[in-house]
Amino acid sequence: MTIKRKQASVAAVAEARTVSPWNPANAVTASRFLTLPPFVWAVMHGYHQWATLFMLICGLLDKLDGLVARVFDCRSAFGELFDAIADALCYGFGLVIVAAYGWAPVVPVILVIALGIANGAMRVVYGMRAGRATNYKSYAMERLVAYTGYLIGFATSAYEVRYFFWVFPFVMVTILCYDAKRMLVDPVPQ
Amino acid sequence: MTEAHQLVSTTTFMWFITFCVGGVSALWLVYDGFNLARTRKLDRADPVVRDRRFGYTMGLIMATVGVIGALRFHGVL
Repeated sequence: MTIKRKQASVAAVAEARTVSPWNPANAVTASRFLTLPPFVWAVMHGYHQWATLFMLICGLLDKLDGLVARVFDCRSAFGELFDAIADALCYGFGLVIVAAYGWAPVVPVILVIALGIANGAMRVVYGMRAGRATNYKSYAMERLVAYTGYLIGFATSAYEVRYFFWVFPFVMVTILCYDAKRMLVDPVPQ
Repeated sequence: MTEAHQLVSTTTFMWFITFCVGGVSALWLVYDGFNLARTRKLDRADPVVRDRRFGYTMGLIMATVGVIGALRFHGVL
């Protein structure tokens, strides 16, 4: 079976079943927001290790929600979208905080957030083109999101901060250009 | 010695971060390299295959950046 057929069959199964948004996977996704207040507290007090720990927990919960969705069989288009929104809010907020407290260079952070907003806008357009709540699956962006989590970790642990922060926008622009064509120009798969 | 606001000593913490960055990046390099090799025989006209190949290639680049960063931190590069 080709990958396209496999994805089509998974999508068909997901559409055929109605999954409540109040499910364990979405609860795990939502619980990621609980790591943000203690993260801010740690950054405010200059506790690097604690800040790293809270961001690590946030990243691990991101990995855990997919696992929970598979175990409880509650995968849904809304869940995927909610996960992407939680990624954007948690990591965007984390980047703003580390930049505001001088733990990371401001210019790359502004670039990353601007590119993140552009990515979000393209996903909205893609959803409108598809005519349903859907999330464009980008293998490259999945990896970039993991890198974003790491990026905040580099800032909280003062680990080669300038190097990692200045490389990131170039990688992000490359991925965004590729995804822009896929989301805005190429036909939307039914 | 760890201070009150520290979870572990600074040395332990930095080696933990090095493992999380360098170690995970090295594993990621192997993982995405393997994934990319597996897609060689698939039909490249298929957009999903192209997406996967692009994603794995970017994964390789990001993993390389991670390994270089860990080496830079320890003064190797």
